[in-house]
Amino acid sequence: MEKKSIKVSEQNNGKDVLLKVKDLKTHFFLPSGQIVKAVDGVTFSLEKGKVLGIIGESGSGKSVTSRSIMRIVEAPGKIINGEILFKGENLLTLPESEMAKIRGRRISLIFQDPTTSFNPYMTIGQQLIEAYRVHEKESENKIKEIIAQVFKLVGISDYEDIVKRYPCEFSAGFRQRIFIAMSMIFTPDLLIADEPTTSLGITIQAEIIEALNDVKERTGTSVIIITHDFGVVSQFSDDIFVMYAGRCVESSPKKELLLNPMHPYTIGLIRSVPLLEARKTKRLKSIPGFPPDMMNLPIGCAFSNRCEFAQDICFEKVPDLVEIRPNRKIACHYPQINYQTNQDTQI
Amino acid sequence: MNFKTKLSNGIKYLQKNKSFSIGLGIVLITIFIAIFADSLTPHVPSKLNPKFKLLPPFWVEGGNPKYILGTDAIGRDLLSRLIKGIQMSVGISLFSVLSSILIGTTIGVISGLVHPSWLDSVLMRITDIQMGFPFIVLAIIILTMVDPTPFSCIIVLTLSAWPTYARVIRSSVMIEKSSDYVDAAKAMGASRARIAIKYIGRNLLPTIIPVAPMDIASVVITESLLSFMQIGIQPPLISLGNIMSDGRNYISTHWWITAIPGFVIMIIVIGLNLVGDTLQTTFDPKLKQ
Repeated sequence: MEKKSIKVSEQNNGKDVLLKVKDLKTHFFLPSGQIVKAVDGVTFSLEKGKVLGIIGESGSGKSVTSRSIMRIVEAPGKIINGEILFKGENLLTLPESEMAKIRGRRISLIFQDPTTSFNPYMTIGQQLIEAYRVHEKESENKIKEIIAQVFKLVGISDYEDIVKRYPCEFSAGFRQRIFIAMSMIFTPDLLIADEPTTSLGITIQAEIIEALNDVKERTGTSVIIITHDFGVVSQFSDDIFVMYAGRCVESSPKKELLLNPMHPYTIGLIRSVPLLEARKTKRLKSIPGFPPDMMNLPIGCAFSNRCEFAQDICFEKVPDLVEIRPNRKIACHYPQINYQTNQDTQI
Repeated sequence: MNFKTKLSNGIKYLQKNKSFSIGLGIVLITIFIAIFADSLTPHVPSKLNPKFKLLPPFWVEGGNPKYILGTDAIGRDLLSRLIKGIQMSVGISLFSVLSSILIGTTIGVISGLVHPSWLDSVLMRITDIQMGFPFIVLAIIILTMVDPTPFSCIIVLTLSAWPTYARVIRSSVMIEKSSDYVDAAKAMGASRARIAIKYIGRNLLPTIIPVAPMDIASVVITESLLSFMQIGIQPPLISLGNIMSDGRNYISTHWWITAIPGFVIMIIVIGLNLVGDTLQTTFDPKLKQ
């Protein structure tokens, strides 16, 4: 089906690059005339079989980034600039009919709240069959075999009973598991999990991350995991990408970022993670101030008015994302190169 | 599953859901009466019989077993009139509800899908006007201007019922449209048409279907009201309200002429409501046990 002429195998340090996002800009044009720059120049790439964690506060543009990749940004929102190369093909220039074939089949999206992402009036079986039939006509029995396989993938064995039931009969964690199974029905190359654990309890979170990990290990699918929880990315990701106010502020391999964060925002985020085993009297440090008003961003660095290291230039000029070490990119005028997280944080 | 097990499952279901069985029984009997009314009447419903004026039902003293439910002021058999009346009332209610569902759903779906737009505002203002207009006044205006035939009655009753459907359908389309599972369907690659039919359309049925029987019930009452006010179905046609209004002058001495059709209306309304209730729980998996 894919046109071979467009398919250019991109090479990056000898590794297969699955997804490459270049200078993506998605803005929302409000009826009042204001423009919300939800995603404003995001660049990253993802290798085959790897996990990328996108982390940031609410409203930092994480979800809009994932929706832009799927091209399902809603009405006043518009992708105005950039390139999304998926297996060498630019998704942004594909006609809608071709894009529809990629959604759910080559790229799947897992939603935040499993209690609302299922149609309450259809049984689980009907929904999985529907998910399959969106793309291909196939007999019900054949699809049921595939359903049994994807259920096994996420650790559900007795599928016969489950497919006859309605979503409301299951717990949120279990529904999320089923949703992961549903998004794996075509074994996509890329799985985007948009805060898959945010609405779940802490023990269930671990189970879901484990299920995602199993799926990744067994199928070789690449995963983008979007979250605001360092616990999630620290368990399960190869690279981390920190977003703030629609921009990337730091991107790095996981371990380096967690041990040696350089951007003041990343440092603040890591310092604000509570730890059970931390020394008793230590208080958590929060980042002062509030996330910026997206309709009214500061002129310079968006983080400048909350940053403890800010100098004059930070209020005047937006820092560019520069690679200061191999694989380490940072957008800051004064990166904290020598900052070390406490060893007892042991993330 | 073969036919036999399906049948026994069905019977089990009916045994468990007593109220539904009762409601279904009433509705089926009513439909049966409405369809075969002409062959069920023991007498010709419009035939006068001056010898047996104002006969009471047979169980009351002075009743005649030939006229089971008695006769009215000019000696017409009440049971025969009742059967024809059920046919007329139920037929009119059914058609008016069907046509209001059709109109209401069409307008509601269009309005909900195009939601923030001028078309939505225009349709909704029309609906508002329709809802704001007192029904009785509207009925009197229309039915005195045109001939009050069954057809014009259907139109008046449709006019009174569609705005509710339009409103309800519009809001459920808007809810469905912005729901996460429609979003998820988009992310799964479903086309707009597929989402409209398979997701939004499908999810509207649980909104419409349970309401329909209850709405038929309320239209039966409204229709009888119109006929009772003598602006609805006109003699020689017979409707339940019509029979009741015939007995209006005799209500203190010959109660049965008014009371029995009233009782029949009550039974039909209860039956339809019981069915509607059960449909609601059946269509909503969250209410199912």
